[in-house]
Amino acid sequence: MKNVLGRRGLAVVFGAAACLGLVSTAIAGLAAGPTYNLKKLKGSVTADGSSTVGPYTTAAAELFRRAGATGVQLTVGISGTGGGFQRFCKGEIDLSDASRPMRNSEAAACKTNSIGSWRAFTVANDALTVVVNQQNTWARCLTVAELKKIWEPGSKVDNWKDVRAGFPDVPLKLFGPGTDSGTFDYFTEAINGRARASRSDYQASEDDNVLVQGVSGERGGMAYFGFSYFTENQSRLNAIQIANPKTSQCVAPSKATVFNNSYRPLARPLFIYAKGSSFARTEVQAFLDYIFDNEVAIANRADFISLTPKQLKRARTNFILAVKAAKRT
Amino acid sequence: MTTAVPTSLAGGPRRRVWRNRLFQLAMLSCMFVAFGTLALLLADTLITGWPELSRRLLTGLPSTVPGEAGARPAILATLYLGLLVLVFSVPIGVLTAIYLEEYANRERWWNRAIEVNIQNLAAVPAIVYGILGLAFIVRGIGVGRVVLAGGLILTLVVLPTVVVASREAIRAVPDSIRQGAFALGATKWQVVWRQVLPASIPGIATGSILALSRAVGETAPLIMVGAITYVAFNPSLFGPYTALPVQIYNWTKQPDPGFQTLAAAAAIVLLAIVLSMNAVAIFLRNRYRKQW
Amino acid sequence: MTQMEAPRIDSSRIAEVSHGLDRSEVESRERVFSVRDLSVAYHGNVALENVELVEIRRRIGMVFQKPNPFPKSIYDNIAFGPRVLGMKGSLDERVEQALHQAALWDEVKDRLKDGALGLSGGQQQRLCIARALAVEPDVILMDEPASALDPISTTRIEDLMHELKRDYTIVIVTHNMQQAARVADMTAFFSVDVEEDGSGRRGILVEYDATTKIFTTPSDKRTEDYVTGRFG
Repeated sequence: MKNVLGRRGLAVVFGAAACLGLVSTAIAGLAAGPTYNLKKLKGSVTADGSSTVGPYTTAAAELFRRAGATGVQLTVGISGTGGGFQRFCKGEIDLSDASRPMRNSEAAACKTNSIGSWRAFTVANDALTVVVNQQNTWARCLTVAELKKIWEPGSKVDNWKDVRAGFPDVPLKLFGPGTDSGTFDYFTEAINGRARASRSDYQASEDDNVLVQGVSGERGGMAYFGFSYFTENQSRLNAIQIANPKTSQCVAPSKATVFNNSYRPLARPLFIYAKGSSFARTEVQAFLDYIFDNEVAIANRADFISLTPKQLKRARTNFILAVKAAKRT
Repeated sequence: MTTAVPTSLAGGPRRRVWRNRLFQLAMLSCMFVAFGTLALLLADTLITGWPELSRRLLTGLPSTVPGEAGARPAILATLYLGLLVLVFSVPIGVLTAIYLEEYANRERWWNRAIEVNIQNLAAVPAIVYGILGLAFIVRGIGVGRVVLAGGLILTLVVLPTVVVASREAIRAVPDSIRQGAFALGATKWQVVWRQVLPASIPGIATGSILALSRAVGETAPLIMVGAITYVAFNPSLFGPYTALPVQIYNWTKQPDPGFQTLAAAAAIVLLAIVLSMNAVAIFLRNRYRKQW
Repeated sequence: MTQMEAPRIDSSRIAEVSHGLDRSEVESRERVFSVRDLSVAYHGNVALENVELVEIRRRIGMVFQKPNPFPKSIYDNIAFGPRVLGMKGSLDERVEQALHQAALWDEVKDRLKDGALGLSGGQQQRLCIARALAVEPDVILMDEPASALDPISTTRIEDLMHELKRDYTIVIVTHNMQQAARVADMTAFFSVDVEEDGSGRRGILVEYDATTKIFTTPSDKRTEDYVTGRFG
């Protein structure tokens, strides 16, 4: 028939559009209380930021949901620490995952956009891990000075024999994270003394799995990344012990050494930044409250190192202050 | 060859015959390179992902633990995005194509400029549309990082392709059909709407669905406009979302190797979606194939 | 150009049809449908500018050299014209009547919903004639309607023309002199003149008269040369 086909096509198309029109609405919660009835919570919480912290927030969101908060729509993005802060300071998100503290320039952006106050919470710990190939039998422990010799800007070290007298003549192949990552910022600050100051003639990738593959396929390979990438790939890589600058003792990265503060200087805290105004919403409060109540479970689930009791206490106090501040306004 | 063939004929063109065969061989090996790589990739994905291809993957929510993770929100959002792209790109693309083919005067420089522009836009990398979409759709007109914004941006990505395909289809309608309709006193609009358009539907449908399957597989622009990676609820038009390609990309970056297999399994799902779309395209083409 | 029974076309004006009429031009799509270069004397008016082309096309039915049925069913091919023109009355009756007039009804009455492209070439051409008849034109213009057909189909088309000329004015363009002699009552002979200033070729009307006179005792030398086969 003439144009029946054309008309029917349009009808289908518009019908489908109408179905999509069913829109979920967010209803903000009301009064804040010390305990939260998770089952009654509604609304949405948006988080974005570091891909290192992302799995932690995701695990927290999962357990939060399982604990009964099915009415809260929690989303976690991984735009990177810098990307997360950018969105955070535009007021687009409630929580910003960060693997390093906020920079002054970022804080300035937050202020010019007048998003109000914000608070940083330490939520977990990570051990930046320096890894080498499994056939590397010589490098068991390195000092900060040796690492600096390798990684500092302008470094020309390209053979293991130049790292320390007695090391074999094996070409050194370096792999590292991209310059957008918080890991890069933290490592360069801890080892080279200044954030973002690093030699640049190494193979960089935003994808840590690429680094894992690079080092496991290269006898003289070396890389650094978050602890969880090492624990998942222990069978393919060796972790280097780091000589503690104070005690000069060689310390391997582990939950215990981070916890007792001996793995230095590469143990780092991970943060979630929260917008002050978001605390006015019960679902945001309840989510953070849930995190501090279930810190260990969340850290274990996502393969992170949990907070020390001291860190947890500080985070808790910080949280309670934030809730009070939100009530006042 | 039979013995009846005279020797003069059998012996002469041997060199030419050999060249002929050589060329065939060269073409065949080229085809194997192209096809073999694809087959290898497919086989690798299938073998890696098959064990994880479960109901949980289709209906479960994402998780930090590979053994518990599913991709339902991502799969649903991908289907929604596909629908949105269809709703937006087909009417706009087809009407543009009709204008360019049936109404535009090629003598005018602006019509030629539009044509050249559309051809070029079809070759612009998708990430560029992502940046554009972030600036103008997500932040500019303030749609936000929601399914609708993703659909609009993917529409931009595939619109030039839809226009080009629709133009080809419209151009393939013989002039004799237009003449026949005009001769009966039909107006231009009636000729286009009742003769040219129905006759070009197979071509338009094929082109549109192929463009659609491209949109469904796009990752880069969606990452730009914030297809978030952890979404534990079914997407809605104005809600946050993640898409299947983004979910796959995210899983491949996870430390736990269990996610690699999960990513392969999700890739199979995506492949199944794209292939079934292409199957629909082929079906439509065969069903409505016209001879003139 | 051959012409059959032209009661409604003012023969004194027919020369004006010749203006700018060139075979290649007639065949080019734009010209046929814009008619602008073709000052047609129609009901005593010279159709030039400011005419509703759509209306002119409706009143002058057109059958093309190659059968061009729409890629639709037989029924929809005939019904297209009445539908787009919004003609009143029963569509089914109109379709049946047009098919009867085009002597196609008996062959297709059981498969009206089948695709028109499945018909033979001759049937397709009669379908195109039926399609033209369905909108009730004043004049039917046939541009070499049988040149793409086999002899048997050609005969059927010619028989049909004899049937139709009782009700319609039919103008047919043909290069086939025998066909002109067989079907036409009045014949016009057109030729081309090469412009002296080299600006191109120009169609001219050489002679217009009763068919028998044109073919037996033409008054123009060029006509005589053509019908006796001295050129062409």
